[in-house]
Amino acid sequence: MKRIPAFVAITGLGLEIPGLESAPAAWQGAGPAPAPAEFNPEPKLGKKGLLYKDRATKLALCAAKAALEDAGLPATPVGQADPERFGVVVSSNFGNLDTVCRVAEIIRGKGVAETSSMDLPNASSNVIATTLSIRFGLKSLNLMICNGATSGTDALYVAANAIRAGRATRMLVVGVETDNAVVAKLLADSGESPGGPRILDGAGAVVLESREAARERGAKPRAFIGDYAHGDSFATGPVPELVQANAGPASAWFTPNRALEPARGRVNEALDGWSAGDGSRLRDVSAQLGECYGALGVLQCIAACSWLAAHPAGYALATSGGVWGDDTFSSLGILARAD
Amino acid sequence: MENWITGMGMVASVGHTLDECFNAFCRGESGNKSLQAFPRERFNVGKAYEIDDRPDKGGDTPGRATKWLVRAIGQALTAAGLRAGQGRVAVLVGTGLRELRSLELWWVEGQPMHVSELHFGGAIRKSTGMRVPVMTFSNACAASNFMLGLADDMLRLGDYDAVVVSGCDSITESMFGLLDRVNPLHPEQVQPFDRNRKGVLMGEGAAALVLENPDHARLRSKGPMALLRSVGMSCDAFHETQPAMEGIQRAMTDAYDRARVEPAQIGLMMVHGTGTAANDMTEAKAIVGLMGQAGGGVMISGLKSMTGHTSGASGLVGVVTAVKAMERGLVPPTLGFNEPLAEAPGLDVVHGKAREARVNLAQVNAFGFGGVNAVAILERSEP
Repeated sequence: MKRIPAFVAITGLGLEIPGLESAPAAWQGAGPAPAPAEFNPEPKLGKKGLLYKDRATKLALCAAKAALEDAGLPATPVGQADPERFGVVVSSNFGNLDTVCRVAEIIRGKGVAETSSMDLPNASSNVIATTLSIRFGLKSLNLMICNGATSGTDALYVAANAIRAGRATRMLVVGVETDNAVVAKLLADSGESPGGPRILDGAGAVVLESREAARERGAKPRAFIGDYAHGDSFATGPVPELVQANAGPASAWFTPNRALEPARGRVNEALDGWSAGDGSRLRDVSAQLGECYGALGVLQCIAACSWLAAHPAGYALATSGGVWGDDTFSSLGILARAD
Repeated sequence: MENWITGMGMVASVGHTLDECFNAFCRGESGNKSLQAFPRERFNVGKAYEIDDRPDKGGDTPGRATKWLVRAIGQALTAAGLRAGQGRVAVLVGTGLRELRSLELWWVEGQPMHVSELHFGGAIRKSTGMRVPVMTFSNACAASNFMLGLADDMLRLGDYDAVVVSGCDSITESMFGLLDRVNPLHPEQVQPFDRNRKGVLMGEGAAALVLENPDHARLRSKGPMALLRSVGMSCDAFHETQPAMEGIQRAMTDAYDRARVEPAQIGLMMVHGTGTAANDMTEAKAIVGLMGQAGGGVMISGLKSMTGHTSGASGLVGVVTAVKAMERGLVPPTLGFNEPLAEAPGLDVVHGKAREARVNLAQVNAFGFGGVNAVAILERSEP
């Protein structure tokens, strides 16, 4: 378990989930499922530069822009705050699977002459993270994590580390997954259930910055990044460790998708063994949005900030993992601001 | 206090172990061969640097990147003497293309694939018996050097006692085909820093090392193979596929600052050297800009002339080779180097044959699509 002093502030929240009728600061990870809706990024991003971007990249761009604006930072390279110390971590597993399969199919059927050079950037899985860097002028470290179900939580830990280690003063963290025919077939052929009426098609983004940097520019932290832990279960692993570290049970436990195993079983085991664990503390973002996979940790962080704003004592636990063949879990404390 | 490298491993087209690979490099052996499994008639380019391990000649099998990664990590753990249950350990995997080759074979040929096999956590936990966090990052061709930097931070912050740093990549038909599509010169070999280079060809491989807190290593009575002085990082925020000198220099300067060294102290540089017009020109200008016309006398080695571009693995392939070079006092040559770049005629590109040299500080460059740059600096360990 990693003790992280309340040093890394969360200062901006952004969401882009087509059909979700809620502002990020009001979204606590529950409510009616998003209505079927078109995704049209042009009103938010303008037409320029979007032509060859894949859907995941456009979802990420919208969420990131919202988070930067929420943090009071420029959503453009011009005038960006200390750009050489502003980095990016994006979490996504499904981002470019459609491009890879489509290009492979064209090559196998017709040969390379029939491919488009415009697909070249999208064939590299980190295209989302680097597109954000170009769009917003973020020149410090730039990372793309594709780590299955725990990716979003791991992304927040790694981003916080970049600030703790002094590599960056600010980090933009985005979690995004998208739904398409390739993803649907991959899940079906894997023998995995969507874990809800559908899987997430959307993105969440947060801006992290050092407490000092936030104070200097007069930005008010919504919450702080707390401790990180990783383990095989919640009964003996991350949750008890975090509860101990934060001196008492969490005010809210954002669980992984309880419609899927082994996540559901591990959460139930923890509730059996953990005296403070009455079910009223549980929050399951996936029950509203469907399985969020690599985006879950970031979405939980957003929901936790909103939850803590309404319940300002204590902390929230954001936990992910245990779905679609992954059997480990990552957990992160989200701490209320002490003011 | 610098973290120690206490174990290393490598698998590439020229060898199955780190020693096999290093010896092959020093003999100037190349893994270049005709395409092993891709349908030849679909491509203009007919050569790559593949690992020749497919059981079914002419066909392809899924999971090869995972297999090499597991092997390289196994070699590194064995060399380090690090076993499951010892200390607080994490594993970082840097890859450009994950198991996207398996995804292609699933989509195009109907070969089996499970969604969790896109990343490497399950396979590593199973092969090592370690119930530890494994994080897979897809950071283009700079991936494994970025992992080295993240590992250094995790150790310096006191979060872990040892971090297994690794990189792997197999060639995907989509990336190989798109690189073919955009290069009219149809190269037959990779010629880093040569004036008449024709472009990049992909290669396959995996590399791994154990980066360890020195106190933890001493408790295990383990000494260092080398010290990690620093990893500098940057992003160009400039172009999706083209490099930018400013961003590359910023990563190099970041590495020098963190390591508290002057550029002139670097004895050996494993360049990114992909053999493309843009990379090698930009990288050479960055070197000359920071180190002077002759690169301050630094010896330059372009391993991709023997491994091809091993994508996300290439940074760490350079790192473990640089450590070996410092230990053995022998610098591998750059194949296909005949005439220096017009932009940097004075650089000392080691070529022809391996060169005996005592090197105390080595630099390893890795740059990737989207302008992601990570530069490592390593220090020789006194025996």
